[in-house]
Amino acid sequence: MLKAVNIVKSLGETKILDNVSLVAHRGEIVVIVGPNGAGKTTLLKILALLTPPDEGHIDIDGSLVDFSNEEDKRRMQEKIAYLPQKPPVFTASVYTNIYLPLRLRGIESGEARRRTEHWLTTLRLSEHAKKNAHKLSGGQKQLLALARALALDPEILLLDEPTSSLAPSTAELVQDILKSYAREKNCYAIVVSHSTAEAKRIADTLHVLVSGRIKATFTGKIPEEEILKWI
Amino acid sequence: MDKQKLVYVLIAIVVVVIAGSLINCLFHTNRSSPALPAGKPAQGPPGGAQAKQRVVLRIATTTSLDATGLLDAVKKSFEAKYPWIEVTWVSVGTGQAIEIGRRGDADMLIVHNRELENQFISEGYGVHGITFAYNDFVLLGPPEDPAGVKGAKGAVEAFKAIFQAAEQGKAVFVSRGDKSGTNLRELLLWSQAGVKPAGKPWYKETGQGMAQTLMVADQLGAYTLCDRSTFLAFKDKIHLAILNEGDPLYLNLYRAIPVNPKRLPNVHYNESLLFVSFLVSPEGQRVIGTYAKNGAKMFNVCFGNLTRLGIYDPYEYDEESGQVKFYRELLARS
Amino acid sequence: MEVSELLQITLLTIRVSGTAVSLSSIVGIWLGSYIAIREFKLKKLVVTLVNTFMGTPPVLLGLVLYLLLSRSGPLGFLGVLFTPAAMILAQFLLTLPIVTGLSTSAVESLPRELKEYVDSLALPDFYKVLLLVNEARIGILSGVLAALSRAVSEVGAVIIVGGNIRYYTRVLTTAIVFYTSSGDFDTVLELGLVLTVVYFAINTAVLLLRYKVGEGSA
Repeated sequence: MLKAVNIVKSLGETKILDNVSLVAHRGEIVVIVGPNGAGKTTLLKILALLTPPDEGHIDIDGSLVDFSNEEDKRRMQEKIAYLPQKPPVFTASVYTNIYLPLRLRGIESGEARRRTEHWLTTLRLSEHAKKNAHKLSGGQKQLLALARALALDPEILLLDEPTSSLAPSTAELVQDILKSYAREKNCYAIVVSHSTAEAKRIADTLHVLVSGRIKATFTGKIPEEEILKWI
Repeated sequence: MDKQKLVYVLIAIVVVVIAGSLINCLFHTNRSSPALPAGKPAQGPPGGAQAKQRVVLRIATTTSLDATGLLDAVKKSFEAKYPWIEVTWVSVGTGQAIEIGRRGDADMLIVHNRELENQFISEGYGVHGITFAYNDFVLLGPPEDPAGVKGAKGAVEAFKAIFQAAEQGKAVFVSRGDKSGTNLRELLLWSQAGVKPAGKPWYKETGQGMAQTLMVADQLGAYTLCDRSTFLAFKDKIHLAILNEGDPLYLNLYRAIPVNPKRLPNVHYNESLLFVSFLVSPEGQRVIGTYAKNGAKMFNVCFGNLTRLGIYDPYEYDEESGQVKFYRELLARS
Repeated sequence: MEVSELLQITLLTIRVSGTAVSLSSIVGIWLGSYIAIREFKLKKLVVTLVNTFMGTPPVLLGLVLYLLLSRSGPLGFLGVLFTPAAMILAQFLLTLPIVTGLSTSAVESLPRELKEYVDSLALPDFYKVLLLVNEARIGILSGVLAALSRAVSEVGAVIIVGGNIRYYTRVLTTAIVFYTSSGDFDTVLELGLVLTVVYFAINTAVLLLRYKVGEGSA
């Protein structure tokens, strides 16, 4: 189980997250929706161990995360793949963008090559493999970032609006991939989504985050009208 | 296409290039410490055992002497005779040259400031110093000669005259102001004349070399003290003329002084002695005496002749312990 | 001046400054990048020190080195005074803060999301630096160029520790000093022309490199 317990985070005077708790189970997708400025990105960043909460703690598979211990933090982060909202790409080819982080993480070259090619194909990026990553469109960059994240074979997948720049058909493709990935790999997946339709398609559990608080949680069937009330 | 490996290879190449360049550079310094093998093969007679270890002789001298080109001429003849010695020199101001000698960063000095040289020797840093050549300074000024220097009976009177005229606003004096040999002589003459020009509005200190100072003096139509050779080189380009000369106080005596190996053991004392004896040998004196730049003879030789110039220096002339005797014996032996 | 001597002086200039800046780049780029990514107690002080040393007057550095390398000084046993090795050392020390400081600011001015993303990859510091240096390469290359320009055009440090010995430790700038003080202005102009050409060549070469290397950056 992945647990966030009583997370409080402030930026200066403003409280961004006010006593937020959530739980995630392996093999299931947790989706967080909410209006802009609700604190969704901050929550995800805390889960990615990029910034410590002011109060509260994170618990991964029973171990408490100690943000002050660099070594421990790094070891935990190796299990996490984090995809930010406007994902940055490296100044290199599309292929290298996926391949390099794998090699730097210590995965040997044959395996790294296999994974890279697999995800390039799955996410329809093969024809762009040799292109400079900066020359891709916004949507293609997002697919690249996704391929990069999934190639790492993470135990914890944290995605911040992963389909925001994608065409509807591509977005659906990605959603299907995410669903099957979570199940097959039996990993944790927490997705911040901008679209209730998407939430409906992929979420096993849905949290509605408004002004730093979770106002509602739904499991199983997601009633769209209910959600729209909050956003 | 393993980017990581590529990066490592690139770094390795750069490191190898740098290391190679550095090593190459260190070898080229021809450090003659016994531990280091000779950089270039000796060009001595092929008679086998003569593969003498190459020595780099380092002389500290003045910029004005270097500018005359004399050392380049002497170097040629000397290295022809002693091919395993490479003669190099650092040319700086007199004060700095002596300091370099004091610190043992050079093997010998060739300078031209009697007072500082005597101090250097008496403090034990220099041994067997010998005067080998001289030229003189001349007092230059505007042809109109507002201070009436032409009629002066000697250097001291001339400087007194300039001071008086300048105080009345009729003349300007340009000094090198850089503690060079020329500058130090000029200051000596002012003090002998009993006046202090420092800080006066008509006393301009350029802080630069002789050539530039000449240009400034020429521009200002000023008086200045200059060495004869530099003046001869620029005679046609400037309007200044020689207004006073010949006084023994204008004499510029060049002395070569090996650094004392007992004080600073790392200096190449034997090679210094070889060089200095060459300077005072008949062949060396001939090279120096006939050396000319742009057609003008720059030096007069004077080994063993100081008394004739009106200078009585027991350090050189003493029958028993004088340096003239020392070098005569050294030359006779070789 | 004979062409062969002019060539020798120019090559020595390039060798001395090139070696010095290569070395200070190798050290400075890593040092600067590490300072950028790590948070540590004295960080602000270190950054301030580096920035201060960027403006070290070369002649002061030359004097301090002279006293250290002199036979009567603590490092006299090395015997490198008045050799090109001492000149390289001087210019290395002169340019190290420049490369370090400019590398630090190049890495620090990378977009926050990029730095966060690299953080999230949980890589050892060495690899982190590798990725960030690649992204910041334009800024870093500018730093190296600034260092090279400084090295080639400085005279204070190399003239004191090198001694301006003909054929040995005389570079373009020190040769200009020598011929100026002996009044040979024609030669000075020749040397000045060559120095300008070298300077422009450096700028052009690195500009081209920047274009090729920066190609396709954000």
